Amino acid sequence: MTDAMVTLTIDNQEVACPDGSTVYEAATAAGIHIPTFCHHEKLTPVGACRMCLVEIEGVHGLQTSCTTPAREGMVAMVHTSPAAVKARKANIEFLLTNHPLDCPVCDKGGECPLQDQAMLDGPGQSRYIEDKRLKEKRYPLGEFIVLDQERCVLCWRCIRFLDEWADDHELDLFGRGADTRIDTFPGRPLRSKWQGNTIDICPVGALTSRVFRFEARVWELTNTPSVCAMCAVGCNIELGVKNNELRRITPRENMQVNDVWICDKGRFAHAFVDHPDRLKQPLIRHNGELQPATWDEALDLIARRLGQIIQDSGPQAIAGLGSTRITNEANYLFQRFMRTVVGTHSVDHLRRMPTGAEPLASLPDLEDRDVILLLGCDPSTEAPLVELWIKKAALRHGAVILAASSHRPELAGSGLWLGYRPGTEAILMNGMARAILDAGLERQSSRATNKQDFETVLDLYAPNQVQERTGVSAEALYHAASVLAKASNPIVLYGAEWMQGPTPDASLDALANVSLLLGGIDIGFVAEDCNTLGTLEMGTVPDLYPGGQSVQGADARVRNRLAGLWGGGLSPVEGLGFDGMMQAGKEGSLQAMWIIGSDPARDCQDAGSVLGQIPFLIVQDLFMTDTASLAEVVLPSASFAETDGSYINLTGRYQSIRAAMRPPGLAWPDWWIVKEVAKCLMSGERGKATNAWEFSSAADVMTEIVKVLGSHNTRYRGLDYGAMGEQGWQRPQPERRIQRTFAVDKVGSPAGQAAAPPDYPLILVSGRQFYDRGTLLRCSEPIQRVVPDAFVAIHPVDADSLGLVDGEEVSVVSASGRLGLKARISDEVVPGVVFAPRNLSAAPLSVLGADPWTPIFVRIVK
Amino acid sequence: MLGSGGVIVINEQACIVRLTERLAEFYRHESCGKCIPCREGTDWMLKIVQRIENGQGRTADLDLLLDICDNISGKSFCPLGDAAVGPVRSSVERFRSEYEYHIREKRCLVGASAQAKV
Repeated sequence: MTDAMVTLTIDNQEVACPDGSTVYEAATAAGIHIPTFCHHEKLTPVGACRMCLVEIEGVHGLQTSCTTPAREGMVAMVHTSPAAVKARKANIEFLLTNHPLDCPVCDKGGECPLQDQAMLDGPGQSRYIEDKRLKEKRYPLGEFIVLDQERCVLCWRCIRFLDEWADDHELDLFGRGADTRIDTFPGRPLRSKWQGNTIDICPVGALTSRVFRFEARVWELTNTPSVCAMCAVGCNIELGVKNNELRRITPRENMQVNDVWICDKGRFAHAFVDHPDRLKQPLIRHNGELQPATWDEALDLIARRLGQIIQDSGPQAIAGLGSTRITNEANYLFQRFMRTVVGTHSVDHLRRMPTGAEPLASLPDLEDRDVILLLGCDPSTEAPLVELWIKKAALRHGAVILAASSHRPELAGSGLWLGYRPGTEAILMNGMARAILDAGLERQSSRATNKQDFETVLDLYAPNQVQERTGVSAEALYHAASVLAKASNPIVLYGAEWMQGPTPDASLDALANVSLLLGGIDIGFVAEDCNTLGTLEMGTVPDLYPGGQSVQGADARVRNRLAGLWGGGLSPVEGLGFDGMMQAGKEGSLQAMWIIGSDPARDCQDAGSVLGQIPFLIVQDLFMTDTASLAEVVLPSASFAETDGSYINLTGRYQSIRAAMRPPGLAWPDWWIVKEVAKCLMSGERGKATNAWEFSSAADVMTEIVKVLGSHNTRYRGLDYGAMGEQGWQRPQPERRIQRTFAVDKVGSPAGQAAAPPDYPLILVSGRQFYDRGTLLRCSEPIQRVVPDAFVAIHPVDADSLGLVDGEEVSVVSASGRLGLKARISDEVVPGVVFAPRNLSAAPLSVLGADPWTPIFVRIVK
Repeated sequence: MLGSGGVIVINEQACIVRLTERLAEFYRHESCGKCIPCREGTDWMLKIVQRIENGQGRTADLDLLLDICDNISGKSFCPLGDAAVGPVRSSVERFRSEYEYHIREKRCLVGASAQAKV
């Protein structure tokens, strides 16, 4: 579309619109309502429903305004043309002839465009006295959607959405004429992870949610704007609550995040919020059993025990574990509590964003990319909405998707996928640098001073050498390198898998070198959890204060400022990270630990036995997790639907969430619990003034957070919930480090790394599945029906040599454990690598190795 | 529009209502279903003509048929809607008395069925 404008007359009103707009768009922008059923602003027009007919002067017959381009000087008549008005009224009458008119039992009633249009413009009485056509009235299209073919007006919006956005061609029209109906292909129910969106755009009650069906009339719902907490994208949503139960989640438009779409996990998996197994009151261990207690009892006990431990063993005997799934406010107060009230920097969280990783800068910007390289990253399972933006680039603008990872990502599809052996990330990238140089495709602008040195170290990366180490064919690597190098606007997205090799720094350096070689192409890290960025930014790590100021390296000014603000001195002793905490726990020097929103006993090998030995363990969570069952005190916390607060999404966008309902029982928001514990402890033995912990709302906490962040970055000033509004607040982009020289010291040689031990010839990598059996999704029955059985994917070559057949039960054996899984023989992995999803099996993958994010050497036995 | 160039010759013994029913059935069957006026209109017109043919017609049906024709004509996505209107509109306009006889007497004015229906 050009910037040129055209001026036309619609209903005697002069209207200017950008050249290329349709008459419908011009009229809508001018506030002239034209009803539509098939047209949807996010879908290509088809002109099928004929609701938007208008008269155009000098043109024979009525025209569909959704397909007619607005032209200079055009005179269009919407409501001033008797013919057009009659045609639209007639169309409503036609639609209603066979519509069942069962609005009183229809979920769409109250938010139904057909109902609205019939009320606005339809005839009060029908002239239709014939029998209505009968079709299927409750026809499940899959686990999540039921189709009423009688209500359907055949607008094709659902079909077009799945074709044009999701690229999941699962719905179509069958039959013809009056017998036409929407259906799936025989034996292939809807599987798309985007199917829920078709419910929103259905202009009638044909597609209804099997999760929400008959749960409430829509006008009974109180809708609260919020943000999805299922992944790091942070899709904008509305929480529909009735009688303090979360009945429905629908998307809210945010063009910087999720457009108007959300994935089905975000939409349908909310049963955990109202699940009867939610923790509803504090529990205290008496005689080995966890028993219900009041908050006063729990807070008193915590204050007494922690106070005692600080006195007897010092603050370093206490450690805290925050979470990437709790709010900024909770994380901030938690680290402040640990640092000032307890007096230790031993505060950390699991799945920390890798050091040096720079987050993806923008989601909508992905649409304009012509080549997208995914490194150790599967957006479809880790951050689903990223998939939709990438598909938009691919489907609308022909962007090429390249992928390199140990497990083939969904988006690689039939495209180019470089399946490498885990741990060879850096070698692969150095091989790619060499390929770019060999093909003479480096950019002239890459005038780094030490290019000569770089070329010299890459001499070791001969194609056959790289192929042998990584398992990626030289031909494929050279092809991918040339596609990337020739791109005009490429981007590289990398995920946690890229950073889980033995030398993550080297993997990142190698990537940065390739970027420099190509003139500084954009790189973005795709975070996994809803507040991965916020947890780091709030300083829930031993080495950084909020805002990223180094604890050890901080100058006196920073320390004094924080100490002044927080009302307490800051310990000079270095704090422990999670591994250090586990080590201290093993050695018996850790006397107490407070864990919020994390389940290390399930996720990390041996953590359970260590945590079991810690004399005073406090666990704060939604459910009785493996970790909680080891605790002395269990504190019930509020879910994302029950608390105010904020998250920072994967592009660094602060987005606020609001309590849409009361927490169950006596559960409290995480930030509130931390504050109450702090006040209790402060008013006790230590006798400090407690007004430093007076926060009456999450907004108060945010005010203090901004004070801290704003003290070293003025651009944070002005940030508050008002600034976040309903569309979020993009935090200042960290200044992009302009790299001027190639990082050559860590390039090293591709040879000489540890080979697989002979007893365990295969490498196990793990990853996510879109639907799994994690703590939250386990609560949702419909989702559990679509979760695949636990499996281990084995390449056909390896399966042959082991004599395995597809679907066979096998044991995966590592040096530390054994797990029974179903074999899936598939080329989604390369020979020598096997893949098992996390959170699918009854037994956690952590029985096999140190933690689920590190590849493990295994063997497979029948 | 030249159409297929086909000509159908009908003798005086053919019942116009029965003939229109067959043509309306043809167009209902041929409608692809994409647009509302043609999909719903051809279905509705057939049902009305069938009803008249079966002796359950009402006087108001004739104006209703003409109005439905008007609501399809020029409103559909492709010319099939316009074509479907042709036989219904012209038969009602030119053989209105035969329709009226059908509605009143609940049988055909002409042809073999005129006897059969008595």
